[in-house]
Amino acid sequence: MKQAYILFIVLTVFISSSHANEARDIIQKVLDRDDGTTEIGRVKLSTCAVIKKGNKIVCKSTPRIKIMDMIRKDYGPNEKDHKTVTIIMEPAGEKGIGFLQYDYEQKNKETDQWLYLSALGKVKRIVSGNENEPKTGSFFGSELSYEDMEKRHIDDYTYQLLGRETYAKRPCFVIETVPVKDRAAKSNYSKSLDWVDQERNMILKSILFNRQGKKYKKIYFGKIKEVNSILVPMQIAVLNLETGRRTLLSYVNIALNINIDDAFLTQRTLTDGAFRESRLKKYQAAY
Amino acid sequence: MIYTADNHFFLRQFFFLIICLTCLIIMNVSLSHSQSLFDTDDEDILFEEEAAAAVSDSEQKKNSTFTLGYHFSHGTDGEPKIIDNSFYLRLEYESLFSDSLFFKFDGKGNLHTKTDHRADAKNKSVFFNGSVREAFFQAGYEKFSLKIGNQINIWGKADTTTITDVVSPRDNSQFIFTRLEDARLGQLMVSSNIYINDTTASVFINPLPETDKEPDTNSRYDRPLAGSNLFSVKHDKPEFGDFEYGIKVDTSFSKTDFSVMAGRFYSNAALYDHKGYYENSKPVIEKTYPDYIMAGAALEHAWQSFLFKLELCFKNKLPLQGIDADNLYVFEKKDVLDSAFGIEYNANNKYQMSFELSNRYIFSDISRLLPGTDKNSSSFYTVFTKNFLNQTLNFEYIFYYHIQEQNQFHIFRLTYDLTDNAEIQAEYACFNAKDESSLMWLYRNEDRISFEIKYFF
Repeated sequence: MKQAYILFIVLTVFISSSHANEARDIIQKVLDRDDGTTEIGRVKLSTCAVIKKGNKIVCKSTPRIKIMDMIRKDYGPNEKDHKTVTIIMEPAGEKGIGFLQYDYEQKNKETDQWLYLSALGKVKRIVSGNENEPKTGSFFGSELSYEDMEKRHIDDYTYQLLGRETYAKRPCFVIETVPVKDRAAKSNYSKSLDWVDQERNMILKSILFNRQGKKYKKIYFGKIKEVNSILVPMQIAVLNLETGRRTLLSYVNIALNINIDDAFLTQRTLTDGAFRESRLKKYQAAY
Repeated sequence: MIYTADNHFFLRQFFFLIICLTCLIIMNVSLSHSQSLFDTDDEDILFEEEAAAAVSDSEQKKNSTFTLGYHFSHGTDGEPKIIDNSFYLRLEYESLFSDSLFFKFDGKGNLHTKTDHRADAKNKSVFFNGSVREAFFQAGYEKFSLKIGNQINIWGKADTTTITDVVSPRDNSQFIFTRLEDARLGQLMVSSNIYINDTTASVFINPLPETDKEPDTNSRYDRPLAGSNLFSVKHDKPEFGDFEYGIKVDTSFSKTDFSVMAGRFYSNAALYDHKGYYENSKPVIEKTYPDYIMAGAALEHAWQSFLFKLELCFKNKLPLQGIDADNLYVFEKKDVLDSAFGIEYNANNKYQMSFELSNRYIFSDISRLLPGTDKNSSSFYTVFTKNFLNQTLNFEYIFYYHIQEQNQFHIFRLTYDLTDNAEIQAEYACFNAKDESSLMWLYRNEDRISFEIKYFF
């Protein structure tokens, strides 16, 4: 009886360990999936509090909409360092506000950020907060947090394959992702459940749990389309279960792997109108 | 209870805070929280509403933005009670004419109604004025750009005090109440930037320097020069050919942004100077803007949640206001070291705070300068900002304190985005001036509440 019990424990540990390895490999493939070395896109963020009407989810009031041009280029040996320029097109009152952001793969290397406000007339370096604590605040007032926008470091989490399911007519792995101790201290989430498309190595749905372990957000990646031979979710829906608010991020236009000059990913783009507009015109011709 | 000026001052702040908090609570209560709303996984339902909108939004970029606004302010101490009562329309336009030629325009027209202090000063039932902040052409090339026209040129890292930021004059016609977007005045100049990797070298030349805009005569914030009835004033503004020029080099390395700059300038602020002659037995005082040269450096360094800022500027023969033995105004040229040190703190986007300490040190003897001028003049400035309701509501508190004069002011400001295209702002400002020889003493009774609504289209 005792031997059977030990065998059961060994088998359980072995199976769960092999599930963990498999889950980690799946997520590694997701992280390694080609998302283009460069990206230029016009992005629309629409946020509102919602209600249910019949079987539809509709905004309670006029949604808050931001439209922005985003230009990204990857750097570094693994193409995991990113330089991004974001220029707000709408609403009219925020038009022309520009952000420049450098993100680094290297752990603990803080993001560099600069902001240009036309009322201020100068570029100003900004700090986003302490990397060792959970960040609050949202991405341009949406339900997306800055943590939601960050790329994961594979070693920051442990992974468990919970099963296989069909979601959105696609065969999916269901994986539980739990931050390791160091990461947990600076995350807003205690864990997430991810539905990963088995063939396309893409996350299609995530449920995020807050630090108290309660369901907090659902994120859906939909309208998947091939852009320059790369699969891109053209819409991302973020549902905040605590506030009853929804954000829809939609690509109005997108082009990948076009040639973007390194000089465009510098502070010059924020202040030099002639340079910015002429380059943008050239890049946006690729849509 | 003894009711003193200080009680009164803090009571008003307290009531204002109560109003702010009440507004926040009311707005928060209106949010409904629901866990059961999102029990569907159906992609067609989740994305349905926006799918059509996303397609129709592939519109072309708009070249122009109009802002229609109304501004009202009410004095809580001084008379008359109504200060601002005006409408404005602002146009910002930019367009790329060819692959390398860009045009930008930023102009504004104001309509001041009868009760507005500017219309009242001119004794008009409606007073209209306008200004062009920027109107320039820019040619941009691979590593070089050239800008010609009416433009604003901002130097330095300090946000609150003028250390190296001496190129573009300021609009002081509304004392400290000028809006951020109206704070600087454009002037006709030619400027050029050369870009080499992370370094930018900028040069400018300005053939006709503009000067700070002062309050209109007899308007709310106009304060006649002491003893102005005893002398005549003759204006001596810079003329075409009185060149201002300067160079600035900006570079970034790792977490640090660094600038060095130097130039020759005419004082943006007016100085009064008695040159020894009289008209109709009254001394003639020239209102003038003498020149000086400066060299400075500015630095920003980011470390975790903190941004450190340091700015230094040596001004050689900077004109300062003095008086002669007959108690008549003269200007004195002095070497000056202006400096500022600031820290910004971001509490992981919960709130943000900034502190800035600045100082002016006058090197030589100050006995001939205006009474009340200190060898060191230091001020402290702090700003607290916090966003609520998905960044649609912003609260800002500004505190200024002049160390030697012990003068201070507080500004409480709430800004709410009614919709994507409409914004309202409420503000309360109060002064606490202690030094009777200071400029702020003249404005000690200018506490006010103000309200503004803007519509963008």
